[in-house]
Amino acid sequence: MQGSLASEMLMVGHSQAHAEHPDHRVFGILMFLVAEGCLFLGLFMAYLAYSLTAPIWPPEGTPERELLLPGINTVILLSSSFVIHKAGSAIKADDVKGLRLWFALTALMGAIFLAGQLYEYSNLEFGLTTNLFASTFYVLTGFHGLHVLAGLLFILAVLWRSFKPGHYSAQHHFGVEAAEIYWHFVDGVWVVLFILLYLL
Amino acid sequence: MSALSNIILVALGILLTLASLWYGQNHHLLPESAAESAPLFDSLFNSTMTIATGIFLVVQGVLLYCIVRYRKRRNDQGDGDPNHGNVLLEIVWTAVPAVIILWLGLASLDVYQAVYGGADVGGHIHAAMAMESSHEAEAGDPSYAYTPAVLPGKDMGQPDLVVQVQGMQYAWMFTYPDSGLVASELHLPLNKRVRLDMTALDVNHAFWVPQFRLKQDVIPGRETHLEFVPTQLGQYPIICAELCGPYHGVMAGQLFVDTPEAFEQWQEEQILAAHPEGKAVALASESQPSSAFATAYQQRLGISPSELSSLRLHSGSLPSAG
Amino acid sequence: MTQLQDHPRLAVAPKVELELPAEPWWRFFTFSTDHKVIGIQYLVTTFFFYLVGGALATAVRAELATPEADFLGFERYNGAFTLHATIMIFLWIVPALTGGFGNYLVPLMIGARDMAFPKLNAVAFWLVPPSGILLLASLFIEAPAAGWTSYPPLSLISGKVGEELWILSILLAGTSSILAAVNFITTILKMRMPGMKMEDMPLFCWAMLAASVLTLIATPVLAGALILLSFDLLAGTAFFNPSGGGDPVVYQHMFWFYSHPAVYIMILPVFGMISEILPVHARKPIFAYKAIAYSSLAICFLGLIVWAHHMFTSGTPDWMRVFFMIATMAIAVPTGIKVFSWLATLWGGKIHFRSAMLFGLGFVSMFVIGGLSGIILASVPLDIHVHDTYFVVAHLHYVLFGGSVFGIYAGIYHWFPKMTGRMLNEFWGRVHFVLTFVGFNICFLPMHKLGLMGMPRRVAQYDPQFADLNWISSVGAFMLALSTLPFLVNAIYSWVAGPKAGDNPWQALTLEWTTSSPPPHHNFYGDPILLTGPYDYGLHSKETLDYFAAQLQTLRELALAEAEPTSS
Ligand code: HEA
Ligand code: HEA
Ligand code: CUA
Ligand SMILES: [Cu+2]
Repeated sequence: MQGSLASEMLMVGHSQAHAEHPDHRVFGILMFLVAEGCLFLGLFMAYLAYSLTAPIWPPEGTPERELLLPGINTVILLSSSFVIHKAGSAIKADDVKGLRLWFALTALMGAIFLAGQLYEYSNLEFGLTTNLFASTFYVLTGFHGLHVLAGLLFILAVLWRSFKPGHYSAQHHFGVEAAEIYWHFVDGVWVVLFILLYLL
Repeated sequence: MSALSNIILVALGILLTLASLWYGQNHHLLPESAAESAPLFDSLFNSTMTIATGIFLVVQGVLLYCIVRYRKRRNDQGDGDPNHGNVLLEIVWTAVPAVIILWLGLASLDVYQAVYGGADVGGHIHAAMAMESSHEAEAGDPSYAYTPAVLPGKDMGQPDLVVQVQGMQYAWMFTYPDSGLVASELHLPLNKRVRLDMTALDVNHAFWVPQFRLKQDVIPGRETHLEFVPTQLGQYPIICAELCGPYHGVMAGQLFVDTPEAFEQWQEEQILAAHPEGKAVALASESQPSSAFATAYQQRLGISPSELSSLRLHSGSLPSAG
Repeated sequence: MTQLQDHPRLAVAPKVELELPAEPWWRFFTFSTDHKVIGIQYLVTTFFFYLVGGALATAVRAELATPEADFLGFERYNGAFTLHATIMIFLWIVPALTGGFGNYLVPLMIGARDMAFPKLNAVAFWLVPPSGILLLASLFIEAPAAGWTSYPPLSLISGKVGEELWILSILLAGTSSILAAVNFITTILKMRMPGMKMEDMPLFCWAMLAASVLTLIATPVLAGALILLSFDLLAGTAFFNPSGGGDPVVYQHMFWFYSHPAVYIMILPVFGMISEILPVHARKPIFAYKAIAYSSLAICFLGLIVWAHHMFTSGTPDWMRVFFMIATMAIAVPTGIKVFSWLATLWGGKIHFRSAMLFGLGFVSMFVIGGLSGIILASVPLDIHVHDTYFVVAHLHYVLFGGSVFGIYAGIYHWFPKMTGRMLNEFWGRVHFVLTFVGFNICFLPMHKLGLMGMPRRVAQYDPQFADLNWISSVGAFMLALSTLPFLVNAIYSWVAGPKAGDNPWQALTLEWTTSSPPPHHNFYGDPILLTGPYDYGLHSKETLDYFAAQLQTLRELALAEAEPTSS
């Protein structure tokens, strides 16, 4: 703010003329996920408010929930985070084949998760409007499911592009990185969800 | 700084203080007060107004002074004094508001304590919409009891009278549990501690008596409370202060503060009227809430009968919650 | 202190005004990714919505001119104030400040060539018109009538179609804000020109950073609330419906978790603009730069933990009321720091009373009144009496109109020359200011007393004892409506045929004034250079300033020579 700053600043040369600015997309994705995280946080807080103020939670007459299937689903989704991480490491080593392999595997695991969830829905003994617990259950898992679906499509898109020769390399692989970050996020949300809805 | 400017500053300070003190007491911004706790509110409000007036005068005064004193003179193309900070000043104007705020916070807490000390203001959620009358159980419920951090709470003891209040689109209904009386007007005995147990049947409403300086939302599915002691005989409006539909503005009730004798007499009359003729008069409000409200409203504003019936039509055709 | 006073005016701008072409006019009607085009698109679009929201307010005041509900009638009245507030907040103040001024100014002020994600920026803008169309459509199909707060259960039974249109509209506007916030945070943190540290940034950028953080954290929670409300409305769930076991108060918490921070989203950028405008027209460095910068962050943080002060009568438990009361009052401290620093900035200055400065001074004066009534509202026992009365309506218009709208006008008068290359007419600017200032106070000052005396808000019909004050208030409102006309005519005429502005009509020092008006496609001629601190008024000798201007001149000539072959 001082006058002396000015002359100092004049030294900044002509160096960067019209150069492309560095890539901030990963930072942007992170910011976007902060917003997404707050969306889920808001819904979680609402759920907690319901569960903590209700005399009995879940409300009387809510059928018992099966833990086996969602448990398996959880394990699948969590392990897929490791798988997609392998893909990230592969492309950093310029290994496009590895990238394809691990992405395909992640996509498969995501698809199994979604199928599992649909199967669970169709076998539950309560519907969306049965009671407050049922409504929160469907809205939270459904909303998360949509995010898994979006992540899955994202992964498939990256996979598709990886078949274009030279599209991803050790230096340029924003799509891969973004898909990986997003997938980890979806995973993290599920962990909280699982604890809230099934374990507590 | 010269002696003269010191004197001027001190004089201005005194003037400012006097002006603020005067306005704090003479703002005429509040209606009469008619409940035990209302004077507490008024004195807090007056002190706050005093402070606010002071801050207002300081800020606007300095602003005006700058506008006059530091206006650009003709032919002066130069810049102002290139001063860009003064740590001491900054500390002062951070600390002074902080102290004022602290004082105001504590004073508010104090008044809050005194007004709401014993009341279970938080209310609790019903399992279902139905009115419950198990207040005794929750009176001892410690989860809502406020533990004062600064000042000891005043123990207000049990209320002398409990009235159940129901808000609905566009009327108030009052049940006196001791006598089973149901009325569309709220009658209260003078100088007795009253507790209102309130709930709503459809949407949110709010129970407000400006002369008591008290307000509480009335919420479907949970019970909220107000506790107070009316200290002035008279008739006061009960205003619904929460948007509850198109006719929210005309959802008014009447509150009568009677002498204990008049209160007893009113109660007896109502019961007499209700029983022999089979719930005709007193319960009229239950079956026809809109008419009760409209009558009360008619008293207040002098509405024409045709408007009245159109009002009734509208409120009758509104769907209920769920 | 005085040795610099008699040197000629500052002029950090090249003498010869050679220019690259700015964006052609038709770019303003397309999917442009230039932040300056987008900024102006936002400003013009949102000003249109301001007129619509203002027309609705005028209808509201016409209804309230007499105690009977004889102008709009009961049902239409509720629709009118609901749409008035929704339009003013979601389609005027928020997008005009962040989308409009934020977009136009932030890249220029930090010496960037555009926002970090230009396409995303354009997408964010293009979400606003559909959002507005939905609301305007609701005016003709079925107006939402549950207030801008839309509390259930009322919002669940006051008309499905109108309510759902309202929800969709806000979801679109909210998405737009979130995308814009991602862009601002990235741009401000990552795209500053080489050599510009955080503490070299103009204060507007700090304010935008704080406002964007609030947007990013709080808006999604509103989206969550609206999604749940939609389920209740359309799918028969009962999240907020007590007859199905839900809890309407949960909605209030979620709503205010956004909508309280939203009021700081609507005032922080204004604080920033005022911190730019006062020093320029008072010819003095801003007083206490760091304190102002960090108080924005303090307000951002405190703003996130005070939401339940809107719910003091909602059956909120005691400990919560006490906590939220103290936290709310604490905001007076960082806000006071700003107010006092602005006053100190004026102290010892040489104040030019141009229209921009008049609105700037008007802002300081009016905002303080709104802030003080805010402090009264923050006190739980006092709020219990005045909650949901006209006292609150008075407060909110003093901060939102006396604050945000005055600030926006100040900003328009200040940056209009930069945006359009032309000057606004000063005489009509002053007329506009006087009419606005007087009309505003006539309209909203009496509301304080109305509320304290017992007039609830959101009513079409009221007790005749309040007739006089309401009539005065309505007169003020009509005066306010009238006051927009000189501005509109002035702005439209000057845009087309006003006198040329030159690069730097106010002799300001921030970077946007070192380029041409309007700036060329990538903002600067050659690389922007940071010649001075943003507020170094009175700190440079004439020789230094001449030297700066020569530097800029050389740069511009170089850049133009380079551009010559391609631009022809
Ligand atoms: C731009 C918008 C804006 C801003 C900046 C503010 C600022 C503040 N607001 Fe306001 N508010 C609204 C917009 C805004 N508000 C709206 C729209 C509503 C109504 C919503 C609805 O229900 O529809 C509302 C309602 C509202 C309520 C709820 C009222 C009710 O419904 O019962 C409360 C309660 O605490 C409150 C408090 C405050 C406080 C303490 C500040 C503080 O930030 C103010 C701080 C500023 C100052 C204090 C002045 C400057 C400071 C000094 C000069 C220092 C010295 C001062 C002291 C020591 C006191 N506001
Ligand atoms: C930024 C926000 C903002 C702004 C700028 C305003 C501006 C105005 N507001 Fe508003 N207002 C709110 C935000 C705002 N308001 C909010 C949040 C509420 C709470 C709502 C609720 O309870 O849910 C509210 C509520 C509210 C009420 C209370 C309603 C009630 O509770 O019953 C009133 C009553 O007087 C009012 C009046 C006005 C007036 C007269 C103006 C004036 O300043 C407007 C001046 C007019 C113009 C600038 C328009 C001029 C132009 C023309 C007339 C030409 C027409 C042109 C075309 C049609 C294209 N407002
Ligand atoms: Cu009942 Cu408003
Ligand atoms: Cu608030």
